[in-house]
Amino acid sequence: MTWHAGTETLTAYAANRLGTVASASVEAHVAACAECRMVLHDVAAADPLRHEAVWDALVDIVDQPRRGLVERLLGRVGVAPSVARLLAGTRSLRLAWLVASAAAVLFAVIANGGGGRQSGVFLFLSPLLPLAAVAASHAAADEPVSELLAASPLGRFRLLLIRTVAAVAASAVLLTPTAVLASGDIAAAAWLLPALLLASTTLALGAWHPPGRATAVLGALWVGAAVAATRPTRPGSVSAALADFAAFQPAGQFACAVLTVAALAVAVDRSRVADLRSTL
Amino acid sequence: MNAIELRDVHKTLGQTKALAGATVVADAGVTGLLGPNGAGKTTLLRIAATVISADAGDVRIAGHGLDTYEERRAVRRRLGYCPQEPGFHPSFTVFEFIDYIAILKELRDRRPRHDEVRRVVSAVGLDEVVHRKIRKLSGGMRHRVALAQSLLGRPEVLILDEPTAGLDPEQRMRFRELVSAVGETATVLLSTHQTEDIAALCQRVTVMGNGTVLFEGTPSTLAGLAAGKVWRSDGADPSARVSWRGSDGRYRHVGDSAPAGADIVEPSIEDAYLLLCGAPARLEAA
Amino acid sequence: MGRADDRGDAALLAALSTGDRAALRVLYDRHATWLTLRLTRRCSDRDAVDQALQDTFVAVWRKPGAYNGSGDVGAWLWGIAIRRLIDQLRHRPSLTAWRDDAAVSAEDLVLLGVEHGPLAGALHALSPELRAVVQATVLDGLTTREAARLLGIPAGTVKTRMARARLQMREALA
Repeated sequence: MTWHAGTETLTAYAANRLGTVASASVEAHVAACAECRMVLHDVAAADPLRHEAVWDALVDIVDQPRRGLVERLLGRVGVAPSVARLLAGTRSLRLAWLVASAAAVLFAVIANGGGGRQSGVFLFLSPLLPLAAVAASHAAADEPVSELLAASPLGRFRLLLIRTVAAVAASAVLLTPTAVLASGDIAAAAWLLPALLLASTTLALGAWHPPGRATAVLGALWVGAAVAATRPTRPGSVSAALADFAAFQPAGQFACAVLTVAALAVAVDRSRVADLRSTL
Repeated sequence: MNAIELRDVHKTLGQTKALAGATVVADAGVTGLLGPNGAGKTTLLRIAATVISADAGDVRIAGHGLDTYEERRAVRRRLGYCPQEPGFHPSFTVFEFIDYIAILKELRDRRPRHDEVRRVVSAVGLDEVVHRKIRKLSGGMRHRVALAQSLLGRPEVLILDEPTAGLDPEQRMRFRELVSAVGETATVLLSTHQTEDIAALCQRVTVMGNGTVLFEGTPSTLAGLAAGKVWRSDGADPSARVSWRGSDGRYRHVGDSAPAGADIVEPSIEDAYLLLCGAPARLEAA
Repeated sequence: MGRADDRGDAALLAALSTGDRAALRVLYDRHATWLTLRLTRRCSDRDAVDQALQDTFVAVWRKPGAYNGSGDVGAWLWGIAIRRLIDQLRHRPSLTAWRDDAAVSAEDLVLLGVEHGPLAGALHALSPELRAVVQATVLDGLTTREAARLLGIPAGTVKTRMARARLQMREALA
C-alpha cells in the first residue's frame, strides 16, 4: 500500500467535514489499509461508553452456551432455562437423552407391534428406563462435581428430585402413547405406576444412598420380583407370563400407587436431612 | 461472633479418627490451616463447607448453625468452597462449567448470572480461555477455574483446600494477590503445606496434627515458638529433632534446646512447624 | 488489559475458532471505530448502527471461517456490517439512509486528483440520487435488492438509476 489518506483528510472524514466523493474515496481505502485505520481510530472523537456498551451487549451473546436440541425442547415445554441447563447442559447428558429417547420409542414400537395383547416384556422392562436414566444422568453430571454439589444451596437432594421427575415424565411421554398406539391397548400403560414407585423409592433412599447404588438395588429387586413371581419357563411363554405379573393387575396397580405415596412422604420428610451426609 | 467457628469437633471416617476435638475459629481476613497429611485439615474444611456432618461438636458458619435445612441453605448461599480435587465435566468450556455451578448456587436469572461468571473469570485471569474446554487446559489453569467458581456470588466465607498445590511461582503470586483482596471483605480459611503461603498471606494461622489443634495465633508468634531452638553447624547433631543440609553446605537443626555454644539462628515458621508436628504435647501460644 | 496484541487480523480470526474471546476483543477494538463511522454515513440512527456493529462481531465470532483468506479483513468485515445494517433498516423502514453533501471543498479536489482523477470528477457531476446508487452498488458492493433496501427505493428504480449513471459517466469520461 503506497498511497495513504493523510492525517488531515482522515480527521476531516471523522468529523464529517469531507464531501461525499472524497469520503467515499477514504472509505474505500480504509477498508483495505490497516495503517490508516489506526490513524482514523486515533483522530476520531472517542466515545468509550458507546464502545463498551456495544461490547457488553455483544459479549453477552457470544458467551451464552450453545443449547442443544434437548435443552431447547425442554424450554418449549415450559422448563425453566436454568433447570434445562442442569438436565441437558453437558454433552453426556444430551447424548443420554437422545439415545434413551430413540431406544425407548423403538422398543415401544417393536415390543408392542403385535397389536391386541400388550407385551409382557415391554411392561416388565419399561419401569427400568427411568431408573437407568436417573443413574446415568447422575453419573454423567453429578458425580464429577459431588463435593461442589454437596456445598451448594441447591443441594444433592433437590437435584436428584429434578432428575427423577424429568426421567419419569420423559419416559411416560415417550413410552406410553407409543405403546398404546402400537398395541391399541390401554393396558400398555400399566408399566407407569410401578415406574413411579421405583422412582419415588429412589428419592426416598436418596437420604442415605447415592442414586447409583439405589437405582441398581431397586432395579435388581424389580427384576428379581417379576421373575420370581411369574416364573416364566418356556421361551414362548415369557411375554405372556410377565404380562400376568401382579404389579400389572388392578390390585397390584393400586398397591403401587399407595406405596408411591408412602415413598414420596418419606422422601419429603427425609429431604430436610438428606442434604448433609456423614461421608462424601 | 466469628464468621467461622468449629469448636471441639470430632469426626471418625471409616476406622480413622480424623478429628479429635479440634477447635478452629476464623474471622475477617485470611486464616491459614497448616499441618501434615492426615492432620485432619481436609476433613475440617469439608465440615465447615457443609459437605459432611461432624460427629460431635459445635459448628457455626456466617452466624448460622447447621442443625436445620434452612440454616444450612442460608450458610451455603454465603459460602464459597474450593475442594482439593474439584472435578469437572469433561466436555464443558470454562464458561459453561462455572455457569453450571452458578446455577447450583441458585443464581437463576441468566443475565446477572452470566455477568457474574464473567466477573469471576476475569478475577482469576482466564479471559483468554473462557470458551476453551477445561480438559484442554493446563493443571494450573484448571486450579484457577476451581478458584473462580468459589468466588461466585461474592461469598462472605471462602474455604480453600490446598489452593496453591501445583501452582508455579508466578501463579502463586497472583493467587496471593487475589486472596488478599478477597480477605479484605470476607473471611478466608485456607489449608496449605507451604509455610511461605502462611508468611505471605495469613493474618492468623492454626497448626493441626493428628486431628487436633497444636497452635493458634499469628505467624510471627508461631515462628517465635522456635526461638532459641534453631541452630546451625557444620556437621550432623544427634541432639536435634530435625536436621537438614542447607545450600551453603551447613546443617540447620531444630530441637528442644540448642547445645551449649551452638550458633543460634532466627526461627522461621517452618522451624516452628517442624518442632510442633513432631511434638507429643500441645503448645499454647502466649 | 495487558500488553498490546500484535497479531495480524487473519491470525486473530484463526484464533477465534479456538474460542479465544480475547482475540475478538482485539478485533473489535481495531475495527469498531471505522466501521461505525462508515455505517453512520449510511444511516443516522445511532441504535441501528450500534446494533449492526454488534451483529457484525457476533457473526464474526460464530463463523470466523467464512473469511476465505483473500483480500483485506476490513473489506470482509464491511461486507458483513453493511448487510447487518440493511437488516436493521428492514425492521425500521422509516429510517433515512444516506446523507449527502453537495459541497465540494478544496481538499476534495486535491484528493480526487490524486486518487481517482477524472473518474471522481465524473462521479461528482452526477446528481445525489445517482451518486448514492453508484456508491451503494459499486463501492459498497451491494446487490440491487440490498441497495434498494438501504436507500429505501424500489429495486427497479435502482436499476434505472444505475443505467442512467453509467450513461452519464461514459459521456463524461469519453
